Amino acid sequence: MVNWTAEEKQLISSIWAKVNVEECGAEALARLLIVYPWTQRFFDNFGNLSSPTAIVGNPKVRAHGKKVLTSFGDAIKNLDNLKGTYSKLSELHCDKLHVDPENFRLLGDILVIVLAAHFGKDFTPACQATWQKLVGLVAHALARKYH
Amino acid sequence: MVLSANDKSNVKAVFGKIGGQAEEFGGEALERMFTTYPQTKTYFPHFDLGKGSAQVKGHGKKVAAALVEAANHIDDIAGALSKLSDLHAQKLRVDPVNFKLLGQCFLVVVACHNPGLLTPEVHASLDKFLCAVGNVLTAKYR
Repeated sequence: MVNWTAEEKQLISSIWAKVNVEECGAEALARLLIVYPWTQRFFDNFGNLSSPTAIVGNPKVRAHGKKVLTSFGDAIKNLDNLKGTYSKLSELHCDKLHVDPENFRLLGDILVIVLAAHFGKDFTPACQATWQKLVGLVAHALARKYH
Repeated sequence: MVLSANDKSNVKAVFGKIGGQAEEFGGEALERMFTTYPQTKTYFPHFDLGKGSAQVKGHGKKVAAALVEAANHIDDIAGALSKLSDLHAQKLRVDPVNFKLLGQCFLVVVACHNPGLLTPEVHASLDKFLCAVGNVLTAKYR
């Protein structure tokens, strides 16, 4: 059973309120594909991923990044039921997409770095701790239905 | 995993721009690591880990100095950190997973203080470098 303190919920919502989901999602996914190039294996149909510039400018990367981060928004609205929120997506990622859950952890770490770059000193250690907890739990929820 | 010529030049550029701030960054990375991954505190039962701890700051300087040394000898990180590698294998025996955690926190510190510096390419290079350092420090474990 996940436990969120009032402070953690506050740190999550106050940061999220200022996040541009499209920009942040696009950047996080682009950085995942650049920093951990083996993650490109899931995106053969995305077209040109041949260089960091190509990846950053790729419209499919942008669109998919936005989709992924929008889903994060759902988690934030349902912090007390991440399992339920991600149940179907978990099945999808296992049965249809065949994504190693380690990739969710990698994307989570990248997202934290993107937030740090965006928020600077406002991304305090307590803030980072809360967000690393959140991305870890989302990764866990997404891996839950794997078999 | 091999550091390309681009990676090496990106890493040198980062440490060049960070300059004297590296010591402070080391301390902040440790502080963030202890806050975010409390299990890492188990390696420091002899430290005061409270906010502003002089011991944490001091240790952060040591960590930063090692990273700077590795960056300055980036063609032979294993050679540059050989003594530290022995120390970690024989005495400290920090579980390898923890180097990744500290690496993550160091990247967050750089992102917080110098977001403009951390382009996707530089981010990739710095991440590789930090992995390489972690690998060297655990290379003699068994």
